[in-house]
Amino acid sequence: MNADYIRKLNIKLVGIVTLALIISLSVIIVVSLQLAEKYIVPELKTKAFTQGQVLTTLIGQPLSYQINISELVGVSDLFKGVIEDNPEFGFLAISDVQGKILYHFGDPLVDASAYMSSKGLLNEAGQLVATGGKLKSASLGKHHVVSLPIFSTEHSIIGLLHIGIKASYVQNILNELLLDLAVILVVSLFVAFEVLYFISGGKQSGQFDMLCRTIGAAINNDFTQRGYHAGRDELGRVAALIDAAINKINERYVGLVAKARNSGVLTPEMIPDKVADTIGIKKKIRFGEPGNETQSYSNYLGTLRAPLFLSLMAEDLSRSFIPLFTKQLYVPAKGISAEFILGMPIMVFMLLVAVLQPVLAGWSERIGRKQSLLIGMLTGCFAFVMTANAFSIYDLLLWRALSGVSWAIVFVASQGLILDKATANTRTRDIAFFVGVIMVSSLCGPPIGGILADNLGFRATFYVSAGLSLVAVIVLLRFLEGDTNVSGLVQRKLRLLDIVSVLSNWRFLLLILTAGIPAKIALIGICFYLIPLYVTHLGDSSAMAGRVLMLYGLVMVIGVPIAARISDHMRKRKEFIGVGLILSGITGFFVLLGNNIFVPICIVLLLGLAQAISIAPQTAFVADICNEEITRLGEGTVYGVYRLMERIGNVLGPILAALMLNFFGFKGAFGSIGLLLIVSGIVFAAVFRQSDDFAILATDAEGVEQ
Amino acid sequence: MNSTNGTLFVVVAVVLTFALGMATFLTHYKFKSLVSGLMQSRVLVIGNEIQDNVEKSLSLGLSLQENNTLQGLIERELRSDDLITAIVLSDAAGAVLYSTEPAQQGKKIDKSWLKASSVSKKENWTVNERNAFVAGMPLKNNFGITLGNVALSYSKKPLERSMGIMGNVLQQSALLVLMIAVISASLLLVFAFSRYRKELLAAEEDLAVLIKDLDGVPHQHVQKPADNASPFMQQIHSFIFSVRSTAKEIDSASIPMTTPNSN
Repeated sequence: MNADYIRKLNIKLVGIVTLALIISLSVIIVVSLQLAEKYIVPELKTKAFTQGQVLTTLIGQPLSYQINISELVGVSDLFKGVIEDNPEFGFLAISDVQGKILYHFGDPLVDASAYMSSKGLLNEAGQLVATGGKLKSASLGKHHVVSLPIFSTEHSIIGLLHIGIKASYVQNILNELLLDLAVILVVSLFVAFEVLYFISGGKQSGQFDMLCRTIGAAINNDFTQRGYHAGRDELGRVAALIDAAINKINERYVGLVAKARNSGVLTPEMIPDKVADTIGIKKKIRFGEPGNETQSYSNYLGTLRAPLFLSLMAEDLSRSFIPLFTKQLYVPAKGISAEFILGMPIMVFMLLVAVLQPVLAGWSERIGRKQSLLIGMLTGCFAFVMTANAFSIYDLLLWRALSGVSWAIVFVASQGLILDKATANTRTRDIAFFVGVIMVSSLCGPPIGGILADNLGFRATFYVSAGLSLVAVIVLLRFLEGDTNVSGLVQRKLRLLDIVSVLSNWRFLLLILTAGIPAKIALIGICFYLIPLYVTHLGDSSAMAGRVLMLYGLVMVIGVPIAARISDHMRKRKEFIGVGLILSGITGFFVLLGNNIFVPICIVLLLGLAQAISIAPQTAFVADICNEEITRLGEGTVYGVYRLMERIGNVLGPILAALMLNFFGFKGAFGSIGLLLIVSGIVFAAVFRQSDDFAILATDAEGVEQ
Repeated sequence: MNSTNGTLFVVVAVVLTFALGMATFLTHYKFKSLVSGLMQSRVLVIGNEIQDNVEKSLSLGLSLQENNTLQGLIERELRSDDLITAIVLSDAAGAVLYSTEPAQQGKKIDKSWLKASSVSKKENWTVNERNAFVAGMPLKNNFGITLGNVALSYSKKPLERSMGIMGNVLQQSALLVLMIAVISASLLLVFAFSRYRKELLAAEEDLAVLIKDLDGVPHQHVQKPADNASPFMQQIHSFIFSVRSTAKEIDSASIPMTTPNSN
C-alpha cells in the first residue's frame, strides 16, 4: 500500500508545485517581454537618429557646393551600404519639403505621401535638431520611422531623411528573447525540482516509506526495526509514537527476560531464538534491543542527489565556453596549430577521466565513498579557483587535468555508493536515478554557464563553479550518512588480463571500433569542442552556445528512456545502433546548409536524437555479444572494459575535431566527423546484420557520461 | 515545523523563491546583454563612419600622422551622440595620435585596449572598463595591414540607469508573483494533503492511546477503523492490534519454575 500511497502524495506535491512554477515563471516572461519592448524600440530609434545624423552630414557636403537636393548622385549606393550594415533598417528615403520622395532604397513605402508631406513633421524635425529634444517617430506600415531634416547652406530645411526600422526586426528580437526566457524557464524548472527533491520529496517520501516498513514489520510480529522521525510535524510525531510503542514492547520483553534470568530459568549462553520459547511466549515474535532497533530504511539517494547535482553542474557550467576561454589565453606555439591548443583542455580532462575511472574504483571503496566524494569535490573546488586564475595555457591544462581527476572521483564514488547501498530490487531504480542527475546537470549547466560567462566573464563563472562545489561539500558533510555496504556486492578490479580477454571477442572489438568510439568522438568532438567555437564564429555569444548545448541534454532526457523501451520491445537493437550512428554522421553535413544559428541548433538536436536512439541499445548489445565473457568474468568487468575502451573516443574527439578544423575549417571538421560516423554505421550494420538480440536491456549509468 | 501544513508552506516558498529568483537573475542578465548590444551597435555607427573616413584617406596615400583633418572629424563625430564620451585614434603601437581629450595626446592607449586589439585579429574589439565601455575598430590600409585603431569610449551610466529601472520592475513583479504563487500553491497543497494530515492526526491520537495502554494509564479504547478507512489507517490499526496482542502475550507468559538444565 505504501508505494501507491506515496506515489499519489508525490504526484499531488509535484503537480501543484509544477503548476505554480509554470504559471509564475510565465508571468515573469510576459512582464519581461513587455519591459524589453519598452526599451528596444527607443534604443533602435536613437540608433537610427545617430545614423541619420551621419547621413545628413554626408548629404550636406555636396549641397554646400550648390548642388540641388534632387540632383544628388550615388545616394542609392550609400543607402544600400547602410542597410547592409544595419539589418534593422527596412528603408531609407529622402523627401523634399513638399513630401515628394526624391530617393528611396529598401522596403517599398506604403501610404507614405501623407506622412511625408505633413507640415507637423517638418516643424517637429526642425525642433528636434534645434533643441536636441526627445525623438518623436511614427509608425508607417510595418516600420517605425525616424525623420531628420536636411539643411541648406542657409540653414533652412530643404528635405527630410527618413529611416524606417523594421517592426519585424523588433519582433524577431522579442521572439529570440522569448526563446531565451523559455530556456531560462526550463532550466529554472529543472533546478527547482532538484531543490524540491532535496528539501521535501526525498525526505518526506523516504520517511513515510520507512514508517510503513516499520509498521509492516511490526504487524508481522517483527519488533526489531524502528522508523526515522526527523521532523516535529504530524508524520514525525506518528513515527515517534510508533517507535515508542515498539520500544515499550521490547522493554517489556527485556523485563520478562531479566525476570526469567533472575529466577534461573535462563542461562546467559542460551541462544536468543530459544529464549522466547523457554519463557513461555508461544507466538513467533522477533524482539529488538530497546532503543537500539535497526533503522529500516536509508534515504541515501535523497541526500546524495543534491551534492552530486551541484558537483556535476559546477563542471557543466563551463561546457559552453571552455574553448573560448582557452582562446583568451592562447599564445602561438611552434609546430602546434591554434585549433589543437584550443581543444587541449577538453582532451586532458577526458583523458584523465578515462584513465582514472578504473583505477579509482578500488581506491574509493578502500577509503570510503563519503570520504572520496569529499576529496573529489574539494579537489574540484580548488581546480575551479585555480582555473579562474589561470595565466597561461600551460597552467590552464594543469587545472583542467585536476578537474578531470575531481570529476572521475565524484563519478566513481557516487556510482560506488549506489552499488553499495542498492539492493537487488532497487538497483535498476537507483542507477536510473544516478543517470537522471547526470542528464539534468548536463541540461542545466551549459545554458546557465553561458549566461554567466556572457555577463560576469569566464573567470567569474569558474568562481561560481568553485562556490557550487563548496556548497556540495557542505551539503554532503551535513546530510550524507556514513558508508555501509548493504548490498554485499564487492566491485571487482579491472585487470589487464580481463581487458585482453574481453577484447579477444572480435564482435566486442568491432562494436567498440564501429560504434562505441565513433559515438563518443561525435559527442565530444562536435558538441563540446566544435559547437561552442562554431556558435561564436557565427557571431553569437557563449550564452547562445550554452542554450544550443542544452538542447542535447533535453533531447537525451526525453529520448533515452523512450528509445530504450522501443528498441527493447522491438528487439531491434543493432538496427537502432546503426541508424543512430548514421544519423549522427548526417549531422556533420548540416554545415553545408548555411551559416546561421539554426545550423548548430539542428546539429545538436539531431545528434542528441541519434545518441538517444543508439546509446541504450549499444549498452544492451554488449550483453548480447559477450554472453560467454559475462558468465566467466561477470557483467561488471565486461561493462568496465567496454566503458574504458569507449572513452578512447572521448579523448580522440577533440583531437580529431581540432586537426580537421585546422586543415579544412568548420565545414571540413563537421563533415569529416560526420563521414566517419556514417562509415562506422555502415560497417557496423554490415558486420552485425546476422547477429541476434537476446539479452535483457541493462541500465547502465555510464552510458550517458561524458 | 510542527505541522504538515507548515512543512508544505516552507517547501513551496523555498522552491518558488529559488526558481523565480534564478529566473529573474538570469533574465536581468539577458536584458543587460540585449541593451548593451543595442547601445554598442549605436556607437559602432559613429565608429564605422570614422573608420571609413580614415581608411579612405589612407588609400589616398595620407598617413595617419599627417592627416590634419582627423582631429576635426573625431570632435565632430563626438557631438553626434551623447552616449560617446571620448574618441581616440592611435597608431599600431598604441601611441595616441588624435583624441577628443587633449590630455591623452602623445600618450599611449591603455594596455588592455592594445591587448584586446591584438587578440581580435583585425576585427572589432571591446573592453569593459570600470566606468565605461570601449568599442574599437582597426584602421587598415589597402593591403589589409592594421596601421592603428579608432576607439570610442562610451558611458556605462545610461546602461546602468536602464538596468536599474528594469531590475526594479522585474524584482517588484517577481516578488508580487512569488507572494501570490506561494499563498495559492500552499492553500492548494493544504487542501490536497488534508486527508493525509487528518489520517496522521487520527493515527497520532490512536497511537497515543496505545502508549497509555502500554504504560497502564486508564484511557478510552481505540475505536475500530471505519470500513472505508484508507489502507494507511488500516495498517495503523493492524499495528495497534499487533502491539496489543504482543504485549498481552508477554504479560501472560508464565515462566516455568524449573531451571533449563532440568529439561
